[in-house]
Amino acid sequence: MSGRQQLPLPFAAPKKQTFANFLGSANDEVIRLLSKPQNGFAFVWLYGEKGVGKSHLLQAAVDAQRGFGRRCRVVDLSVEALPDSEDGIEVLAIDHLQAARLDDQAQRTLVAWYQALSISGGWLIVSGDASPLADSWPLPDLASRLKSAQTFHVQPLNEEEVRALLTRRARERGLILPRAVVDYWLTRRSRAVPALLDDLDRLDQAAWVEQRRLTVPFMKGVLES
Amino acid sequence: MGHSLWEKCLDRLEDELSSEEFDKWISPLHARERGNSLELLAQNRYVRNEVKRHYLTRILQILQEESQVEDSAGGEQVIDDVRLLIGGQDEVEPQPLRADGSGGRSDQSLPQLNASFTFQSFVEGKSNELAKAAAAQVAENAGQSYNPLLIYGGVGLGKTHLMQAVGNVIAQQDPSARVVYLHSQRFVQDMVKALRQGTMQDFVQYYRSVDALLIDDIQFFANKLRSQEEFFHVFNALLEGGHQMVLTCDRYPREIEGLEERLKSRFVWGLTVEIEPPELETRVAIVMKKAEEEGVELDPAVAFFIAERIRSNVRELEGALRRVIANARFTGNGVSIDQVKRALRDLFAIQHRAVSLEKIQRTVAEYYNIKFSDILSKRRNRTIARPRQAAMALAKDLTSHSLPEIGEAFGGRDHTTVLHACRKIAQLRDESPEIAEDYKNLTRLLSG
Repeated sequence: MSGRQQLPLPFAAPKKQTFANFLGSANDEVIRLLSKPQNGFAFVWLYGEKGVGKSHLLQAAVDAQRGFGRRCRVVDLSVEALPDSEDGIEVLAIDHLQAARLDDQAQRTLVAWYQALSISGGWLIVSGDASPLADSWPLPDLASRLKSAQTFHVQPLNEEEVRALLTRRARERGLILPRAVVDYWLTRRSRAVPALLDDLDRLDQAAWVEQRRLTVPFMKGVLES
Repeated sequence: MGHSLWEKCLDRLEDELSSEEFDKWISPLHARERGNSLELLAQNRYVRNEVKRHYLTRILQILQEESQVEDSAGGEQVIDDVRLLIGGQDEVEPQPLRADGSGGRSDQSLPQLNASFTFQSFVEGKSNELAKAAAAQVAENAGQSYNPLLIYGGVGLGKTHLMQAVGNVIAQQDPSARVVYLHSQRFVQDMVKALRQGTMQDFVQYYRSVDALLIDDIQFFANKLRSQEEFFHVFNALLEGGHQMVLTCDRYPREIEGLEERLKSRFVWGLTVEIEPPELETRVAIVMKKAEEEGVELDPAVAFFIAERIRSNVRELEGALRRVIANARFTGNGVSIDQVKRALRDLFAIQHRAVSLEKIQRTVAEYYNIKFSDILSKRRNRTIARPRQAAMALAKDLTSHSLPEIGEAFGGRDHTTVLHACRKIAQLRDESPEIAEDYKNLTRLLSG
């Protein structure tokens, strides 16, 4: 068996995150808002649990706005610092805003960004783990600005959408995912999307290595090992 | 040399853009130097157009900044313009690099004034009528009296609006006037950049040459000694030249700790006015006015409902109204009190938290008036078993826990028991309006 094992190369297939490939019918309102051009200042705050698709929506919004010719900047505060405000940016998208909660400099810089965008009629789109009212922000100048946002609680996928997501992601990897396997998966494993996608990664790797189709016994062996 | 500047530009763009964007659009560009021009070659028209549309402005900015650093370090590199070509053939117009010493700012690129911030669009009430009158007076006599005008008050009360209204009037009266608005944090940032690039003289000269300078939130200068020093000189130069300054602050300047005494005293040399939180009538008027600007006809009762609940400041009031209007447009329904309640449900929510299994168990136990321990027990009489099944179904609907995890949390039950409970409750909700109502109530209680 080991002599026939396939060696998988560490190539993930990066997928552009757009509204077209966002599942989650409960979020139509925010999608409609972010996918249109809009005149004047807009400040949109997306919040919700980990894995519901906030980063995807943020990237999709930027992708849509770039399509309208707007100059956009995306900053993920979980891995980088908020840069100084600069002229000419029309859309600033900030992921994981909560990372700035304990960073006085980032909060001050964000106030400067807010002012610049509100005067120039730009957009500020942020994602955070909680609604602006739920968080206490130590800098009052920032706190009041954050509370002016249009807030959207990003809703998780329903069960059918989770099934569709898994089936689609599996298909993108060339895997066929029988319904019985999904049934087994969703009744025995965490149903949080990030955990499910981690499971899919493991299954994909194992299926390559062992040259196996996805079946319930195979899945059981991989995920419970 | 040009390549060295381009390589620096590439480094910065790689940091700023997603790897996908960088690899697709920027990395394939081939750079070459022709005299004082830097030519960037795109492989086809499509790439050239995309680069021109989305990235060229930023490329120019970075090259300009890097050129200034090179200049200040005594480098020889001179680039006057950047040309974007398709395979060296199809040239688009050269893009000149600016070198105006303004810390990267130019009047063309500055978001100077927002034309919608006018005295006409400012809603006046007892809380702000004095500040508005003072600002209007200053706008009509810019640089002649009351210099500087300092407007102070709590956050989100309209200080920026009044300051911008002054700037708009000055700009209308003299279209050639250079009216510069910026947040004090931006002044600090630009000064730090100028220091780094060795262009402080240009930086100071730029601000001293404006006709009117509007600086927002001067409390941000606190504890920034070098910025205070530079701003002090800019301030004096503008005042001596009879150029109008308008400042805002979140408190009376003498109360700002970490601000030099000489600045505190100068800030209140001219006219200092306070703006206070709006009273209910003004808040209602603000909501009505903003709705009108959005083209929405609002029932005064709805405006009253919103204004009565959001008291803190105007910014939050406007944010709430925008949410209401966006929701009404999305649903296709008019704005009503019920719709406002729905649209602002999230905003009013005290805290959004992930629902824990224990919270579900405790909430269900309390709702059905049974003990928490009963939920976890093995007792099978219906008064206990039914709430337990409902709690399991809620756990499946409201959390991401696996069914085995849910079973474990309910006294070590098997996942098939959880599955049975979920199916049973789904069936009962269809058959019994009472159980459907209970389930809805519990979902609402747990979802906050």
